[in-house]
Amino acid sequence: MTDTRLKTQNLTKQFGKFVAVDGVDLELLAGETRALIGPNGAGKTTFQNLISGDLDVTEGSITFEGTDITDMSPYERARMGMIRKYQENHIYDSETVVENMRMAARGDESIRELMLREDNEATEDRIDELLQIANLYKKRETVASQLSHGEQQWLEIMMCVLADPTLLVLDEPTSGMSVHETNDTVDLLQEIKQTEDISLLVVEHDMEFIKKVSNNITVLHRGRIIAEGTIEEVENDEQVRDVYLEGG
Amino acid sequence: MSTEAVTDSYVGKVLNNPHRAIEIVGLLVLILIPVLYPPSDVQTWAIYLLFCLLALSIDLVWGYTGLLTLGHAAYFGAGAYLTAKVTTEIPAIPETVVVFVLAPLFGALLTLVVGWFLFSADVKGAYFAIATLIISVIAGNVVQQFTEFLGGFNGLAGIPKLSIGSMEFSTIMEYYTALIVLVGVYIGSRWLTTSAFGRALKGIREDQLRTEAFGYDTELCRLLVFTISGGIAGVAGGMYATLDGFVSPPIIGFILATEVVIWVAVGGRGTLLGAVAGALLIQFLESELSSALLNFWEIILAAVFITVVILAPGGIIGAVDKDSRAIQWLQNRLVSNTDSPEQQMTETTKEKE
Amino acid sequence: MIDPSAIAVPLQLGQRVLISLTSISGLILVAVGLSIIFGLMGVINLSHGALMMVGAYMAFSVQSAGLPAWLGLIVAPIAVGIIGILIESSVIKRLYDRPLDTLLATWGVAIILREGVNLVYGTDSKSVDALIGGEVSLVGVTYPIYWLFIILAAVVVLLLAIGVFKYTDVGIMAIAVIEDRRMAAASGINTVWSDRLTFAFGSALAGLSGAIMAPLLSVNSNMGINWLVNSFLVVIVGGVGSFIGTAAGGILVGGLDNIFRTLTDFTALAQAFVLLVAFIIIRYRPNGLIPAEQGGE
Repeated sequence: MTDTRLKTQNLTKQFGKFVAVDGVDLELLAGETRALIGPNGAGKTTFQNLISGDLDVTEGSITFEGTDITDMSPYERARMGMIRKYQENHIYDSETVVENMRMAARGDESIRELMLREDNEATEDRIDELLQIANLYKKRETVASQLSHGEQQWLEIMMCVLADPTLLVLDEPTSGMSVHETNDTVDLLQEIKQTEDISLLVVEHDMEFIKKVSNNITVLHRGRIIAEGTIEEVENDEQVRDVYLEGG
Repeated sequence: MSTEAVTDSYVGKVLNNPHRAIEIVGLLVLILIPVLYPPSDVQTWAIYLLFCLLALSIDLVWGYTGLLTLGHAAYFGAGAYLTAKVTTEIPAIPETVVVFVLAPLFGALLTLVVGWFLFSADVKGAYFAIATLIISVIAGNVVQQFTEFLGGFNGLAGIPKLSIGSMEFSTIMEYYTALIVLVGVYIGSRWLTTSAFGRALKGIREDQLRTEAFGYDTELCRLLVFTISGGIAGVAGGMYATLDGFVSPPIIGFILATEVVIWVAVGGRGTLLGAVAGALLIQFLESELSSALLNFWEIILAAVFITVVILAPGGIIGAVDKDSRAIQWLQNRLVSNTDSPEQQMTETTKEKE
Repeated sequence: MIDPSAIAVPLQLGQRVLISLTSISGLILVAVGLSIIFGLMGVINLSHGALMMVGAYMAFSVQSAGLPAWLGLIVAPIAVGIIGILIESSVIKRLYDRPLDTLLATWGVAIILREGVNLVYGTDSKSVDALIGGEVSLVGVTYPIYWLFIILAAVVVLLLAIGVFKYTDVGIMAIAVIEDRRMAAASGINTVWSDRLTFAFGSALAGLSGAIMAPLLSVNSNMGINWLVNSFLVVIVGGVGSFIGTAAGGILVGGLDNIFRTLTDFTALAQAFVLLVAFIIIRYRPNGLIPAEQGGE
């Protein structure tokens, strides 16, 4: 039996009277790639913020690898193996590509280790390996702000991979990308998925992209799950069709 | 090697690493100060060094971690006032213990309290700066009001000098003590900021959210660097008290605190060297000006500060970085075997002639 | 004239109430300018206290030139308004998306204003006579009439600010520019001058408040810092972006200040307690007492 990596139960977030996320029960298995889709305002970003700890839960619980993480702060969740790539580029603009990667490598260490331990070779090798996969090795000494938008996205994805996640949450990884770059991102994710039993939660709008990288889809609408299953099942779901036709 | 080649290689080395060159030359000059100046001036230079130490502590928090602290003089002043009270009222405790153990601990304690207050509420950026400014103003007012205990407006005098056993430190000994502490803290800070912890600090400065999301406990990191810097400010204040023999409210207040921030900014924040060099340079220049020019000087310094903030955040040290335009220009002119195309062309034309 | 906030001697209730009203009014009066520049525009202006100080010195200059006092109330806002235009066009306009740098640069401006005043006027403290002298008897106690004038001025200036941004074309356009720059520019509004005039308006009010408060205070180049601190507390605690919020903030900060002063002789401690309360309020209501979104305008 495959383990449950992430589980939310009755996950709810309310802002005053507005309910952004409404009683969401979601279960993500080890090794699974789940796409989370829905029209704008469906609550996808809020849901991610609840998962990563950037927002407090109003009701419900979040369990990660068997541990209740509902009250844990973002850095504690990251240390447990849940790493998130944000939608807006959150890389260190004024640092070089390789320095960016180094930042991501040691987030799980104690402060004493950060002060006393030197960077080790194994990590440097892994950094180079990952940069090769993302086609950024030649630009390792380039300042991150000078990369193209797509390259910055890939850099952040590789930084997240370097942090050794068991759950990687990707928020619109192909936004602003050309078709060519999107295809390269597909390849990138396929490479990532080959290593261990990493789970991916991908929030996206690009259905073609989703078809190529994910096993299952969850559809969110007005804070609730309205459909869940394989891509074919969801595509043929009447409710989903209504929502997308009406939502535009 | 020809003399030209020798000079080239030295000039080349200097221009390739101008910061290191400044550090070495600066240290040599500082070591020689007691030789170059009479003892009364040496005392003044010692005080310069102590304010350089304060500037250094601010750079750790602001330059590296991105937390603009506009009230750091409070921790300096706290160390000074503590030293003043304890050495005059509890003479049983040796001054060295008060200055090098109690004062930094007190400074660190205060920053721990303020830091915990502000970081646990995740106050950062401009609000953090405003909060520290307000705390600084009020702290200054409070100290000034306690006339009985803290001497009020007139401060406290009669603070004994450092001594070992029965031997009191001479001015020159105190100067070298200050220099040794400054160099020690400088090296320690250099080590800290080049470690992975220093990288985390810069990550907090650039993008706290992202850094937190990689697993770094940024609240603890901020608290730690803030506390360390409070300790440094505290020991600097303690040494100040025993050196000057006199403490008064201005050393706690916002005017000193913001002035030192300006020194760090103009010198070049986030480099350690910029803070020390900026503080030293500006203090030195100020002392050379007559009091008539002093008002103009404040205005000019403020204008320079504004310009640095708007246009050149790297400050003076940034302008002499090996990648800066000024240094590149010097490299092209002075080092004859650079790969600059113009030089190669002139040489080829010369050969053809 | 005496500064009401410097009175620590225990007083009767009636006196206390009017003293409180006066000092609250003073706080609101000085804070309105910052409410525009920081509250509405989002510009962290650390030169606010210095602008107020320059206004006070304008009142002094008018008086020492032998001109009538009311002229000072006209010269001050105009002069400081012009200074505001200069500050905005040289410094502020380059830093709109850089709040920390704005903070630092305006601090530099404050230093220049302070030292400039020292050069021109010397460093000794000045005193300014009140526009309206004399006293009046209310509820059995005598008060300076000027205190009533300050209360009136605070109300007038507050209503003026609200009125300008709600009912005048220029004001409404200024809000439009602040809220959606691109839309406003597309509609043909000159956003550069809108920002400049808004900043100048806030500066002018700061200068006016300095001229009005001058008779109660010891006028020197350092007088601005406490008012800077107070204004930020009032605007932040009251609610950034709303003038009613500023009024609420003034009432809270001023009221608390007066209460604490009855409890302790140490005025600085009272200040510290007010800060503590302010901090607790912000911790639990980060947007202040009456934030802009709740219709505080």
